[in-house]
Formats: sequence, structure tokens, C-alpha cells
Amino acid sequence: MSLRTNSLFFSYTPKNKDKIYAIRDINIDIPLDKTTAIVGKTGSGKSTLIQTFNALLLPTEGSVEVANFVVTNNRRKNKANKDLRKYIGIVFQFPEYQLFEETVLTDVKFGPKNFGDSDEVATKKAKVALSMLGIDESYYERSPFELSGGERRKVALAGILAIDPDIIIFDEPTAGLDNKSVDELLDIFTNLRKIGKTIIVVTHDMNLVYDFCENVVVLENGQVVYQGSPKSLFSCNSQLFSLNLPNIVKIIYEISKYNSNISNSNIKTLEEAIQFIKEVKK
Amino acid sequence: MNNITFGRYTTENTVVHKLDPRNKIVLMILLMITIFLPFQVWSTTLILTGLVLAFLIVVMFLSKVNFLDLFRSIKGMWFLILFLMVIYFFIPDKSYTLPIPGTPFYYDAFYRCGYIVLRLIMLLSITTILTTTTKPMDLTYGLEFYMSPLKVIHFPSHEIAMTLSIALRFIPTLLDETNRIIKAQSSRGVDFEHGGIFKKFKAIISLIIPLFVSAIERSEELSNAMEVRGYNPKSKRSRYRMLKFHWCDLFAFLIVGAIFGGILTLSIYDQNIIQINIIYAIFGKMPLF
Repeated sequence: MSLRTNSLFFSYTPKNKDKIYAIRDINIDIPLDKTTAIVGKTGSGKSTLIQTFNALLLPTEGSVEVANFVVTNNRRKNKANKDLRKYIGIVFQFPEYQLFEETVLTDVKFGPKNFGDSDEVATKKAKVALSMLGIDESYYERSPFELSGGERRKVALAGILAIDPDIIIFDEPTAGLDNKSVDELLDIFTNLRKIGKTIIVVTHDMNLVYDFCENVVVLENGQVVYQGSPKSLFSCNSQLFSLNLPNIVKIIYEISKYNSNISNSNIKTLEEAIQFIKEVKK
Repeated sequence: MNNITFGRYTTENTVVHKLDPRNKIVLMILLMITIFLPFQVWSTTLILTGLVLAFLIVVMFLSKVNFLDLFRSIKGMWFLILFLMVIYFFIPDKSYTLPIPGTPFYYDAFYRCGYIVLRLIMLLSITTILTTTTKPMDLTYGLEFYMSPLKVIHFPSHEIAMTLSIALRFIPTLLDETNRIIKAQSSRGVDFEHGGIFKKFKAIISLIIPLFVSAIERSEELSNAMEVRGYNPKSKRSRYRMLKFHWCDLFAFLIVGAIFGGILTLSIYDQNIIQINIIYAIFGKMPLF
């Protein structure tokens, strides 16, 4: 099972003679059993690409195929958009700005109800999603607007989780979060993976890519320049795409200057690096 | 939402762009008054309105206004035209027009409806010329200039101009924000295009509340940012870019002034002394209307 794009092009001004493509000729195959990161500089087309995945933007040319859904630029063929959006959920950057209901619980219920769930089922799903994010019952009847920024983001995230999509796409989920909140978010990702959800992350945080993702797609000027494992990306190609190196890779790189036998092939986590340094010291 | 370009400032280097915004505001008001001046004879009204329209078309060419965008916005007026037609068909002014043979209706409906639509198109053209050739900030400087004498009676002219310029500056930002929220809510299953009234109402609520919240938060952030940079509305302010009156301003003023003055004189003459009938004066024949 995978999410596949076939010669995907998208332009925000498709009727213009000199149209500029935000993404061009994208042919990628995202395995649904792996966590994938989409990285690239600002304006490289990451957000545009993910919005074509659940038909928020229709491709100018080409198509996106996932499960039984095909997204093309033919509006008539895209009747199943609602089902597709139930299958693929997108958590946008700063999702807290999408909250609008009077209470936390009704806001989280909003999504499932839109997708046809009864009030009872929607309430059940909302409570499960909220508890997954560590939001207890005392918050249910509070207004989302009186919560802190971090809490609001959790509520917004619960709003998507309650829809119970099979694939969840996060657009810059760590933007504006402190270290503790990032760790909490990683725990949530881990739990989601455990219950069989596919996670796709658009991010600038290379530590997140290295620590958490098994597959990475690098975009540059709207085109895919790399698809593969983060490890091989950071071992040789990262400088080519002017990406920041993850901290762990920087450490290994510095050590390897003094000992040519050392490479990052067997070291993936910070703990492993510490252990390795201790052994070298002995 | 991203494609709303009609009426937005365009970066060109035309003579209309170079005019002083204070001058452009006055010229716009004069032209607007001109197209509303009354005449007793229909044909005279239409000929003089046609003259102003021709002048506006020339100005639009000069200022490189996108005609296609203008036509697109006029296209949305079909309902108004239909509504006016129906009203005028059933309440005709029988005093000076002929009946349509074989029907209980009068030609008058076409004239009056056409005239109103023509005037609306002209109003739209005038405002379009102003907004596409004048930077929003310059426009507010111009408005502030005209409001400044009111400072004597403690009228907050600077604050109003500042508020206006900020509001104009934030229109594209709010459009982007709207687009973002539409996408976020669509991801939660909201359908903004289909469904009954109740569903659409709920969909609009899910858009408007977050939009208001974010706009208010933005305004608060902006006011804080202004305050930390020492903004004080009461202090006397200098300006980096001074507005200057050029020769082309005088020339434009003379042309528009001549059009306005001429048509105003004719209108006063027509209303108070003798009916002006241009067709009769030129061709010696009475017009049909």
C-alpha cells in the first residue's frame, strides 16, 4: 500500500499564459507502513504538495493515487473528496486558528459529525482523541479560546484525530513549540504509529526527521530531488540540498574527523552516540 | 480568494499613476457629481453621459486598467439589471416616452434601466481608476490632507487616516487567512459549496469566528508592536515622502474641471431657463426620446 503521485503538476495561476508551477513533475511513492518526512526550503512546494493529497488543491496535471481514490483535475471525477478527506487528515501549521465552537468537546466533535457520525458516536470519538492528547474531562466544557496556546493546539489536533483518518499529515507540527511540547508531540506520533496510523510530516526540523522518520522526500523549487532513507540523505546528500544537519549527525561528523574508522552507520540516537564516545574514551 | 485582483493597485508608470493623490480624490468626486447631473431630455442626458464615458475609457487606457477584470465585475450586475427592468416595465413614466407597439409597456423602461446601469458602470470605472493607480497609503495621505483642517475642532483626522491605511494594508493578509481557514475546515469535512441553508450557515460560522479571532489577535499584536516602537498618535509627525503638485496635475484638473463646469452649467441652464435638446440643436429634428 502506498500513496503515489504520477507526473503531478500544480500551478496557482493555471489560466495564465506564463504560468508558474508550484510543484513540477512529482513522481513519488510514499509507503504507508513508514513514517515519511517532506522537507525543503520555504517556498519549495511542500505545503502545496500535501494539499493535493486530499484534494484541497486539485492537480493542474497528473494525479494522486491512494487506496481507491484518484485525485485529478477533473472535478466530476473527484466526487469522493469527502471520503478522501476522511481517509487523509491534514493538521495545518498553527491549527489552533481553526477552533470556533463554544466548548472544547463540541469543537472536537465537529469533524466526525461532518463526516456523518451521530452525536453519540462523535462524542465518543472526541473523548478518545482528547484523552490520547492528555486533555482530561475538566476541559470538555471550557471555551477553546480561554486555553493556552499549547492546549489550543492539542484541541485542534484532537479535532483531526477524532475523524479517525488512516493517514495523518502534519504541516510543520513543531513550529512555535517548546522542547517539552515537541517531546509530547513525538510521544503522540509514536502512539499513533502503534495504532496503525500513517504519519507524513512536513518539517524544517531535521532532528525530527532523523529521529522519527523512515522515509524522506526532499523538494527543491517544486521538484523532488531526493527520496529515500534519512540516514543516507544525511550521510552524503544533505549538503547538496542545503539542509541543516541533525545534531547527532553533527556529533558523529566531528568525531570522525579524529578517527576515520568511525561513521554514523551504526549510530542513530543520541544515547548510542554517548555510549560510543564512552567506549572510544576507554 | 487568491485571485481577487480587481481594484488592486498596479505598479505602472503612467501619467495617471503620477498624479497627486489629493488631486485624484477631487477629480474623482467631480466626475461622480458630473454623471449624476440631471437633464430634462433623455437624448441630452445620454449624449453627455456618453461623453464622460468616452473620457473615462481614454483615462482607463492611459492608466492601463485591466478591462477584462472590470467586465468580470460588471457581469455580476445582471440581477440588478433584470430587477430594474421589471420595476420600470410596470411603473413606466408615460410623460415623455413612446409605448412599445402591441404591448402595454413603454420604451422608457429600457432608457431608465440602461441609464442606471451605465452610471453604475461609470462609478465602478472611476473608483477602479483611483484604486489601481493610487497606492493605498497615498490615498490615506490624501484623505488625511482633506481632513486636517478639522483638527481645529479636535477631529482625529490622523488616527482615522492611520486606521484606514492599516485596514487597507491588512486586506490581502485577511484574504490569505480566509483561504487558510477554508482549507483547514474543509479538512474537517466542511463543505462550503454544497448543502442546504443550515449547512452553509454552519460552514460560514466555522470560517467567520476563527477569522475574527485571528484578526483581533493580529490587531492586538500590531498595536503592541506600534506601542513598543514609540508610536504616539498625538505627536506631530513628519513624512518621508512629501506629496507634490505637478504640471500634469494642473492639466488633469483643467480637463476634468472643464467637463464638470460645462455639464454643470448646461444642467443649471436646462433646469432653470430652457430645455436643452442637443439633437434638435444639431440636426434640427426632434429626437425619439
